[in-house]
Amino acid sequence: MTQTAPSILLVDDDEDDIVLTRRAFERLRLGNPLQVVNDGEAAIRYMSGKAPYADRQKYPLPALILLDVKMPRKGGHEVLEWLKSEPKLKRIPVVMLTSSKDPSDVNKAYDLGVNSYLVKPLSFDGLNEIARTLNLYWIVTNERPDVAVR
Amino acid sequence: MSKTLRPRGGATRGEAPEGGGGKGAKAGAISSELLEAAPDAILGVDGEGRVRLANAQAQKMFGYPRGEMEGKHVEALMPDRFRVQHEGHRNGFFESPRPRPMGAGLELVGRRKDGSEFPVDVSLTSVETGRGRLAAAFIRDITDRKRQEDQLRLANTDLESFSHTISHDLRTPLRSMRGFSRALIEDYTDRLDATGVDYLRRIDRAGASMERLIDDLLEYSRIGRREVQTRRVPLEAAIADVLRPLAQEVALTRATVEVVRPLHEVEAEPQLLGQALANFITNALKYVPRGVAPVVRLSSEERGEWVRITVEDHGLGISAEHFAQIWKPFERLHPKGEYPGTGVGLAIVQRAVERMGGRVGVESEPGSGSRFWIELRSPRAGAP
Repeated sequence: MTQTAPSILLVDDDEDDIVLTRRAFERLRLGNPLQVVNDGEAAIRYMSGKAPYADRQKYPLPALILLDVKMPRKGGHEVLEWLKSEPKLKRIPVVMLTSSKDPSDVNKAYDLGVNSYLVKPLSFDGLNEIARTLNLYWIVTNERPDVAVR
Repeated sequence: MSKTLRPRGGATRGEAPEGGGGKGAKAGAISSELLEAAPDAILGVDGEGRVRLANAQAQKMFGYPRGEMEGKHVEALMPDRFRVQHEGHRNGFFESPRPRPMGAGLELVGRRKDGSEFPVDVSLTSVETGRGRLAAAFIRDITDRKRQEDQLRLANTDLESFSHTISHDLRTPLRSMRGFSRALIEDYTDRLDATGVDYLRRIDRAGASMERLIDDLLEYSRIGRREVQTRRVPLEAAIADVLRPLAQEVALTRATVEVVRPLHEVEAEPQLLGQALANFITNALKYVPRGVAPVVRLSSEERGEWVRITVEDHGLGISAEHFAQIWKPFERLHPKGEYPGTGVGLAIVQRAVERMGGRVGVESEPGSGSRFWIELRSPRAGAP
């Protein structure tokens, strides 16, 4: 079964960024809520459907994952590596959305198979623009792969 | 740490002067009072590498009682790890004994009688004495200078991590503050009165100017730290690159930008040069009386081995008593409300140009515009 209403999973530990990103996506009126988890470990639990994320109706597999790099417990690179090693999840597009411009962070993400790497914009308008573009490209335009659901 | 007292060179032997300790020598051309009063340690070393003469400061520096240094091998005055290499260099020095600093660019280390080590600077020359040629080493203990250098290095590292903190840790909360003030303006304007909206806009503007300040500060510190390698840069291309992204601002201010040709070539680092010129030009576009369209004139001229690039405007002008102060970071001559800015722009220009081995200056009078200039080396000056 594939998801009919594509959703986006945001993995970020900064509460303010989450609120602003959520707002930016809500203004696009996509009709599907942004799912949010606050660290890498929670992201892995979410993606593998472990408690408290076992209910796939409530916590659907996303059509796109937005991943911060620097997070407590497990960072974005570790989550990315895990995702790409999971046969059932590795096709889901992952976009890094982070404040780190550090070339080593960028290169490592691409080495691990990230689909895109975006630096969090400083400006409010920039964030709205990124939300709009992400949705347009990855949700509307992009041909989505089949993702096996357990 | 690496080398020690060591004349350099190959492996031929000089004539070894005969004789025991240096005392009692008919000191030839060397005045013994001068020798004893010298603030540097002075050693005379023969072709065999034996110390023939050591002044008072040498005994003090290396911790030997009077008379004890003479006759010793000079390699005893350095850590063992440099010994073999030094013997080779010493023989080489006697082959062609020109005055020279020892181990240029290397860290030289001396060893006291008690085995403790200390950093030194050494200059070498040779003297003809009644008993043959001696290598004369003038040795200075640079422990204090090294300590100061270490402190400076530490301070620089601190500064670097500080500017990283500025770039990252200060930006994050700032992004939140700006984001939420903008969200309030967009989402709640209908529920606020005009004063409330005005307050929010002020918060937003303050956030924006703090952001610019952080950017400028970062840029300023980055220019101070980065590696700079100059090369031949045609100003024609450099100025075109600078003007391209400014096209919108030029159009917006209805400015006239004139480029006087031909333009010369300079020794520069293209990015730093671009940044310096861009800052000059944006200033020229900004500092004009309200409602006046700016006129900017770019030109270059050869002045000996320098090429002067001038950015001339017909703007507000600056009085001579402010010429020095405008190049300092955070110095502003105008209230922010009239002419917004961080006051770092010209400081960035100066630093960038100095890093390229050039210099900056200004000629101006209030009311009759300014001529800001940069002088960089002409590529022709260094040509063989």
